Amino acid sequence: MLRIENFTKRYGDKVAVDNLTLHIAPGEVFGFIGHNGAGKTTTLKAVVGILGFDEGEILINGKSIKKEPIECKKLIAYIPDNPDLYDYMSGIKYLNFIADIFKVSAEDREARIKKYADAFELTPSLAEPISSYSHGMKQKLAVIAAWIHDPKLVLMDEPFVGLDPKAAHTLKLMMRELCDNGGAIFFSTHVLEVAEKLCDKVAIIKGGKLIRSGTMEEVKGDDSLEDVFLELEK
Amino acid sequence: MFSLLFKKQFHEMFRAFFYDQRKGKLKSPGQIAGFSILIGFIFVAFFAMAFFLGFGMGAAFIPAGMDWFFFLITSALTIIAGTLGNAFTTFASLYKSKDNEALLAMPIPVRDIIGAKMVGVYVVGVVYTALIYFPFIISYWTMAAFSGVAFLCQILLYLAITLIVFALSCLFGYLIAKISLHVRNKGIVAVIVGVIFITLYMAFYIFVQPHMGEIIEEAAKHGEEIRSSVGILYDIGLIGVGSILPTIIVLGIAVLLGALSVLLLVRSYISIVTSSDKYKKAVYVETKGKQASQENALLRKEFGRLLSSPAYLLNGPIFAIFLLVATIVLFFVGPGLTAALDEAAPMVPYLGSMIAISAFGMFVMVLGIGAPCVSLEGKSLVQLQVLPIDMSQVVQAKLKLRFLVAFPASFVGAISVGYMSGDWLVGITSALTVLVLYIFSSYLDVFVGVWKPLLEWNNETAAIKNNLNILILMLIGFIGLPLLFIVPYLFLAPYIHIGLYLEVLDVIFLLICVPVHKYLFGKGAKKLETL
Repeated sequence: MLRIENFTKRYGDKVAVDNLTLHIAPGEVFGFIGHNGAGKTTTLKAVVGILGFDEGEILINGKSIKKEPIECKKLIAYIPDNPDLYDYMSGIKYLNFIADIFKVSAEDREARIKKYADAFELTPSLAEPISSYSHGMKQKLAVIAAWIHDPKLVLMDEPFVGLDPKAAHTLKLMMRELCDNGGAIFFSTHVLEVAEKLCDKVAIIKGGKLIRSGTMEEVKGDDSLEDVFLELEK
Repeated sequence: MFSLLFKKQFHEMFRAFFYDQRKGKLKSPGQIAGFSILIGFIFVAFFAMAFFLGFGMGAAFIPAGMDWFFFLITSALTIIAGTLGNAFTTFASLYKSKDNEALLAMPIPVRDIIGAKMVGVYVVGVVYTALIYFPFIISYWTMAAFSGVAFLCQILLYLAITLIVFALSCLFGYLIAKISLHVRNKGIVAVIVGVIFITLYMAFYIFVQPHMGEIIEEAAKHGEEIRSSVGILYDIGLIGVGSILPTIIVLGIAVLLGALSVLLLVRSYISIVTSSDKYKKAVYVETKGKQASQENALLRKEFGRLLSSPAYLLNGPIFAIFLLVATIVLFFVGPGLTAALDEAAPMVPYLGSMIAISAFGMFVMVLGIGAPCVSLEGKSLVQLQVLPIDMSQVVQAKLKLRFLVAFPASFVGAISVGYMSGDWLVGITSALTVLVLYIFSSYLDVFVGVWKPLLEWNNETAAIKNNLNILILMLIGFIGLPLLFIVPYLFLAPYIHIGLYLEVLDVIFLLICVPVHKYLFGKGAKKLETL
């Protein structure tokens, strides 16, 4: 589904990500863990195609994000850590805008909006402008917008920040459902307990370098993920 | 604390001079000099316009001993122009600034927060009023004998005007903020205010302007009678000729108004900024969705952005309505103008058409829709970058928006300018030129927006106004076009038919559009992918 091969990104003399290689297969929930400034967001942005990179290749279902960006973007959805949605639009207008861009049929979008907006209890607020939404509501709307076109790969940067426990649970169910249907999730998080419970595989990045990667069992063994992470951070 | 906030405000206001906003780096001395020269050109253009207006009025009033009337009118004009230019800026910078919440969450006295922002409002008002008032003063001194006392009183009058403009701007900003709380679509407030202003201006233009010359003549003839009927206004006008007591009184009143507006805003600020909207919550009703094309979705997004923002509407697009009304009026007054100018300057045939084309070009150039279109995306630009669309589609939507908003005025303008000449060949070539200017201005408007966007801003006004882009368009519109259309034609008219001259210019403008189009849909679109 996603192949990151020898990905390197430099900002001047500083190497933000150094020779990163990761493979994510269909059906996997892949967690990406690291301290602040480790290179998680840089990696996610490069995969999404909004950040150029110096070396390496990123392939989504065999297509290069550099050479076929639009074809790749049709397959993916991206939820940044702080979604800057269009404040002047209402929630429903925003969802319809995203659905139009992804050419989602009227029937499909209607069904998905109803399903996910009801799940997040956001339906009553859909007619209101996004400017009136709280951070959590914006996050929920961003998730619905990401799911509206039935993506194959979802990339999320700290998706659980700002979500109430019920919404966080709903999101986890949605992530599992997507992966069970052949999709994949690649997300960064600081909440190690969530990563431990949810992820099939995890990668730990430090100072731009991948220091541990594999299935949850391979990475943490008998310890907790937190212990492993803190040990590696030393 | 106040000084820290004031420094931050000052830094934000003048950041565009010293920083490349796109790269976040300090500009080179050459770039700073270039930008400053450009600003200087724009200021000189406005200065010149105000000077000639003042000179015209002064020539009628001063010889008739009605200097007081000159200062009364020029002060009123300065106050009106300064207030209208500043009202929505006040609303945006005081109440809609992105850093309001962050600042209010800190242990900073509210009066310091708003005080620093209000200093910014005052400084902007000072700049607007200086551009209008000082040319009036200079024009006065070219006709009147110099007096040190009168000059001092004029400076104090200027100070009073800046305080009155400040007070009125604050009051308008406050009223707009209060109204906005009760209105879902804030853009409606802007449109209503703009339409009222345009209606008043056009009413003045249609009913008063034709008789302005007579009014000025009559005023000069009947100076004594007018003086006795206007009472206190006469005393205010005397400030300009050096009357000390009215100067002190007016300055005192202005200081009081300024202080009262500061008090009003400081007291009401936190309740307005922290208020939730008071209009009824919209009820979501499930309806059958309709699928639109990517192009229509992007265009609808652009229109939504335009209509949602009072600052965006009032700093450019509202001129589209003004221009439409002006072109309708031109249809009726144009033939008369042509006849009058042909009689006055028979060696320059169809000068009226040339002036009308140039005037249309001036205003269509500064509609200011494209120039801030990328800047206003701000950090939301990433929303477009992650979508499966080519950025050229985004550019196309922005260009379409510009074309659509400018179309009504351009279409009517082409008909009116074509009709006014009274000659079919001149009419067709004039109409074509208007349409070419419509196309050229649209391309240029969007080009400057894509070429030099400003994505980091705290309030929308910064994205819309603090932009080199707007200045470039004003330079081309207010100086470049008259220089291209009118000035050479004054010399070439005896040798070349206006139709031929216009068509040569049309070809030049269209040729310029070719590389601009290539840039927009090539490098420009590419740039937006990773901006």
